[in-house]
Amino acid sequence: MAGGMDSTWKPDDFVPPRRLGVGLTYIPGAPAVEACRGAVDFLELSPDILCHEQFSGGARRLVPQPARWEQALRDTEGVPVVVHGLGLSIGSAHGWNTAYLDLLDALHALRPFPWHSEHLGFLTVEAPGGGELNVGTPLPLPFTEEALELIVPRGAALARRYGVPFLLENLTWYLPGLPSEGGRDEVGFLNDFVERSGCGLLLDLYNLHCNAVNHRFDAFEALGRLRLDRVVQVHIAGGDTHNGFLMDVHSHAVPEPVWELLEWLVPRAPHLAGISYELLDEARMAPEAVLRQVERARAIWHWHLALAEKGTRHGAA
Amino acid sequence: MALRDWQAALGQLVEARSSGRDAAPVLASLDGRALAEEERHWLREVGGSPGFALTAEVPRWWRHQRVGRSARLTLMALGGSADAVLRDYLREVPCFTLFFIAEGLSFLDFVARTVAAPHVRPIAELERALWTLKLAASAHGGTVPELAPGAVLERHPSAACILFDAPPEAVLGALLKQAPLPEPEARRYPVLVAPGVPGLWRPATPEEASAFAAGSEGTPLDAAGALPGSSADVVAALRVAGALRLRETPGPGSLT
Repeated sequence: MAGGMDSTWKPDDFVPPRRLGVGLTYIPGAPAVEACRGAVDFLELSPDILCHEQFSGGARRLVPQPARWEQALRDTEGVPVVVHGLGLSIGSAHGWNTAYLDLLDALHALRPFPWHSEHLGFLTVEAPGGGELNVGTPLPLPFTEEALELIVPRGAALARRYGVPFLLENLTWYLPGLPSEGGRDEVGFLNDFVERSGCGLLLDLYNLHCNAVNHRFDAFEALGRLRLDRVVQVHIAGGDTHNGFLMDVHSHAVPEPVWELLEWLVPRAPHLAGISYELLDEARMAPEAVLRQVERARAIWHWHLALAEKGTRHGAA
Repeated sequence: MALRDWQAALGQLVEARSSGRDAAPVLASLDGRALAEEERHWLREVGGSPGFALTAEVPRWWRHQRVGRSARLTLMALGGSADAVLRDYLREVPCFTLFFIAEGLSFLDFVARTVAAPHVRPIAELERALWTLKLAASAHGGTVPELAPGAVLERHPSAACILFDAPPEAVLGALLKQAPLPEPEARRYPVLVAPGVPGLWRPATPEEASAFAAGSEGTPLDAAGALPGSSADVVAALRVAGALRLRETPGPGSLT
C-alpha cells in the first residue's frame, strides 16, 4: 500500500491538485516527445508500457523491464509525471487487475505523481469455461446504480491508496442503446461518480466529440450538465472515420470542433490543472505536427491562467 | 441487472466476433444468466448493429498489430500463408492480453505447434527464444567460476537449443533478403540461444546440443570437468555461452 505519503486527498472532500500546464503522452524514444520536450510542462505516463505481462497458474503478473524503467526515469527527470492507466479494468464486476495496482505501487515509490487516472470501462470478464477473458478493448459500463456501486468505492480506494486525486476518464464507445437507470446518461453517471467518491475527472474532449457525432447528441449541451468543477485534466486528440463512426485512434491532428470544446470549457473549469495531447506510437504523427498541437494548447492554457488570475469565469463552482 | 452476468455475456460476444468464432454458445447461455428480459433482448440484438461490428474490429486490429510487431521473422517465413495462420490463431487462442510481447509469444507457440511448412517451426522457436531471453530479468554476468568435480550443472532457464533443417545462416539470410529458402536437409543444424552469446544466438555443434540436452535435469560433472557423453571443452563452451550454469544449492542457514 502506497497511501499516507504527501496526502492531498480526504474522504468526501475533493482537493484539486496544483496546476501543471500542458502535457504530452510519454512514449520512450518517440521523436515527437523529444520535439516537444521544451514545450510541455508535464508528461503523462502509462506504466503498462514499462512492463511485459506473464501468466503463471492462471495469475497475471506485470514484470518490469529494467531498461525501460531506467529510460523512463531518466527521460522524465525534472518533469512532473501524471499516470494514465490502461489495464486496471476498474469497471470489471468479477474483479479488477491487481497486478496493475502492484505496478502502480512500484512506480509511486520511485516517482510520486500529482494525480492518476483510468478509463471508465471494463476490459476483463469471466471466460465461458471459468477463468478470465480479456476483451481486448475497454467496453462501456451501463449507466446504472449497480455500476456506480461498483466503481465509487474503487475510485475512493485508489485516491486513498496514493494520497492524490484519482480521475476517471470518459470513454468512446460504439454500442447503441446502453442500459441505463433513472434517465441517467454518461454525464449523469460521471456526476454521480465524482459526487459520491470524492474523485475527479479526466475529460477526454475527443472521446466526447466522437460520442456526440456517433450517437448524435450535442457535446456542448452535455458539457453544460457535467460537474466541470471536478475536471482536473483534459485530453485532446484526433482520429479517423471508419465504417461511418468517428474513432478514438489518435491518428490525426485535433479537429476544430474539439478545439472549440476546449475553448468553451477552459473558462468554466476552475480546477483544470492540465491539458494534454494524446500520442499513439502506432499513429506516427510527424513531430512538427505534434508540436503544433501542443503550442495551440499552450495558448489556450495561458488564457486559462489569465482568467484564473482575474477571477473572471463563467459559472465557476 | 446482475452486472457480472451482463459484462460476461457482452465481453464474450465481442471477443467471439473479434476472434472469428461462433457466438451461438454465448447467446445460448443468456437464458441461464441473472438478467432481465430487456437485457437479454439487448444482448441478443446488439450483435447485429454496426457499432458492435466496429467494437469487435478494434481488438482484432490490435491483435494483428501486436503479432506483426513481435513475430516479424516468423510472419516473413509464413509468407503468403501468414493471413490464414493468423486467422486460425485468433480463432483458437482467445484474447488474453493487451501486451505486444505476450501476444507475440503466444502466436509463436501456436505457429511452432501447428505449422508444418519447411523451416517455419525452427524460425518461430528461435524468435520465441530470443524474446524470452531478452525479457529474462537477470543478465549474464560474463564470469564463469571454476567448478569442482561433482558440481551440478543446469540449463539457464531462458537458454534454448533449436534444431534447424538447413544451415541457420542460410535460412535466416534468405529470409531477410526475401530470397527462396534452402531445401530442408536430412541432418539437423543446432542453434544455441543463450545470454552469453554475442547477439544472443549462434550455430552450435552437435556435441554442444547433446551436452545442452544432458543439462536439462541437472547433471554432476565428472573429475575431468565433463558431463556424461560430452567433453570438458564442450561443457566449458556452453558455460561461457551462459547456456549451462552451476546449480545453486541452499546454504547452511537456508530453510528447507
